Amino acid sequence: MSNRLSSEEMAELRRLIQGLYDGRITSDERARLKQWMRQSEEASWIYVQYMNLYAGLHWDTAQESELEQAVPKGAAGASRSAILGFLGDVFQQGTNFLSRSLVLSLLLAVGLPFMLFLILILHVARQPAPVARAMPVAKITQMHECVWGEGSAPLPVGADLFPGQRIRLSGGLVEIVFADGTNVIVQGPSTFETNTRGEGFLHIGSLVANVPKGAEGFTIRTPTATVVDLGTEFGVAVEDEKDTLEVQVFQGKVALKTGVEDADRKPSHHHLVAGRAVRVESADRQGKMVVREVAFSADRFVRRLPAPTKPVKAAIIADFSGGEGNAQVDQFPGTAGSGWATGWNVEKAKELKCITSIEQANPLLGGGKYLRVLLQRESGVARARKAITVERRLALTDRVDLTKPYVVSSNLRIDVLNRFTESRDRLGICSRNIPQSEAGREGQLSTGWYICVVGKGNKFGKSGSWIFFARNRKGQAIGVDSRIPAREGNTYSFRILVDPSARQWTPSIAVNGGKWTKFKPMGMRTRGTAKENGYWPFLRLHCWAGGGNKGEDVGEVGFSVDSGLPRGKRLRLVRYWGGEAYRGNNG
Amino acid sequence: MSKSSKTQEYVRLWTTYGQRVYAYILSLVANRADADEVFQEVSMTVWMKFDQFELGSNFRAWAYRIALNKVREFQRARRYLPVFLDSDLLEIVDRLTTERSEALDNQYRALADCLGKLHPRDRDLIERRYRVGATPKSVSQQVGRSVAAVYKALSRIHDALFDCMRRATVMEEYA
Repeated sequence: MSNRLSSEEMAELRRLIQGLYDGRITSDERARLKQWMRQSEEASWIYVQYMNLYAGLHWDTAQESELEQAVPKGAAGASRSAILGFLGDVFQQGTNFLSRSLVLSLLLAVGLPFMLFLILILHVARQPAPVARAMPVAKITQMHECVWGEGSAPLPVGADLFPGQRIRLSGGLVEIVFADGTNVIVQGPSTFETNTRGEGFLHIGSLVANVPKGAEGFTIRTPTATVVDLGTEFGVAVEDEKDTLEVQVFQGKVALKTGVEDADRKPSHHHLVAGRAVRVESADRQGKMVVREVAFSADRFVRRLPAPTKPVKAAIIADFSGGEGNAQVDQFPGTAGSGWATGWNVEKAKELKCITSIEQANPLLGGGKYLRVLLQRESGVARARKAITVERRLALTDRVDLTKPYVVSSNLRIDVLNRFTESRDRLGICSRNIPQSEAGREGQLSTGWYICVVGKGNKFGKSGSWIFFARNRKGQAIGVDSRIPAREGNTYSFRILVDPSARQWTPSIAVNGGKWTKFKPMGMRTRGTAKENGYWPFLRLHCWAGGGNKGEDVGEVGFSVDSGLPRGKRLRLVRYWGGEAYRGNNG
Repeated sequence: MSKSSKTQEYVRLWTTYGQRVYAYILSLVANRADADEVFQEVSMTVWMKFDQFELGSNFRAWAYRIALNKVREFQRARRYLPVFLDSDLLEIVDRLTTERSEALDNQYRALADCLGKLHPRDRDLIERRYRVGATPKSVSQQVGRSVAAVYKALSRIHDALFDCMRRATVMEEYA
């Protein structure tokens, strides 16, 4: 390698890289590090190696929410320590082997010194894993109408499952493939835990395991029994808190061991072959388990998942003409349904007269019925203290999943802009939400995205053009002038791509059905995570006609709205694990 | 090859290379939160596209390519936020990571040993730092030292781990 670094240079480089990773360097220092890496391959290589180190140290804590639940169960392998790293794997296999009921017999068979040695190994491997990264031991490969239970973060297809990770299903089916190749279908309601690459723990509920050749020995533990596969397909159901359990073998055979080793009761061993089913129940208070044969029932377990359906784009329509064929939902004010959580709500200011009506004559771009709103401030009335809003709340996950990127679009025609001359005079379209943390500051901060025209020029832009109110990357409130003038008689089409997890929105505007002008993405005005903001679930038309003081002339604003079309991904039953992966960038 | 055995092959490959893909992504985004996010995307994509993967070909290279694309996509979506690795740096880091993957693998393998060689007090600090939800501040409260002192100690320990991991691979590097 050429251009070796001096020790001073090396020290400086280390400081910059570590500072970068911790977010503790200035922008000048960042620039310097970049430049250095561009010029020196050695510097880039050092950087790569540091990242490799961080990745090694972090590899365990990525799946925070899941790992928090990762309480190692009976299986020793569940607590593989990252500190042991690859060695841990070896230990893990060793302890797995040992934990499979052979411990006692082995220890009896060999001498004391060896026993001590074994205990030592077990002790090392059973150390709680402070840097608890483990490799995933299984993966979710399919789902069907999954309903996640309380306290269980919804997982998507493709999610990795880690040792000790618990899945709580209230309903539906999940297919899990273990690293040893075993395919397990868990049927809700169930609580299931992935322990190792070849072992799971069924707390309650039922599952079917299909064990391919080479993965024999795959084990399902339950609170009272252990089912070890001997090359087969079998179902296990844990029925209730009394630990009643049923095992049914579809193909091949399994070994069933009931009872718990460390208690005073002796475990009993059974072999079951295809076509047999048994029920295990506790017979007395001492926990003695009784195994009795029951009738084999082919329908007792779900063995295959129904074919998955492809996600489709979905839309929620408000065109006041029956929208999605549901006139009741789509009227004004309408009702909840078809993706809407509510009907339209008109919030009036007492100083303003607000007239809303559904019109048919002189339609907007698409034709059909539309909503017309007229605001008037009469002479001699005090200035309005709040805006008038016409808004409707979207359902979080009905048709369109608001937690995923979605698009809101709406046509808005300006009918009247009379005496629209003050900075308090505003007409706009926006989202709304009032995060708990911002309660009481609604006027300033209740909109995530906000496009409006202001009656009088302000610091953000030229008077009379549409302005986007947003935040920049530093989290400062900004206004971006679209330079598209808002004029009476024009119809403006707005299209806003909302990316909740990135807390970004990207607006586009077209005038009178013409070409779209797309703008750069910008940050949401409200602070907090998307979840705290309820994913900005409102479509709102927002209007102040409050300019001037008492005694001044009449102000009047009129506008018409049609076809608000939030579009997005069809509701998916799953979300990315960890829920809100977003970690605030905009403050 | 049947669907289920393909799935098994996938699980096998992913459990083998998942961590390496994570490390690759982290070196491209230089930030843990972003790496976690991109990693999820990549994990999903690799899974969904696995049908297109030719068994027997280079899984790591294939997964890295997906990861690189996802990182670029991620940067585009966040163009509104500052990015440390511009496209030319991405290329440099990608090339180095790919060309020297063996050295990096060896270093990662050496990490366990290197952690074992730390002074118990230092190892305790590292463990606290990388515990779920920990911040330098929370660590400083736990150990009763100032945040600055914790940062300083962590820097020193990271440097020590780095040197130790590098020694494990020095042969490859300068051979």
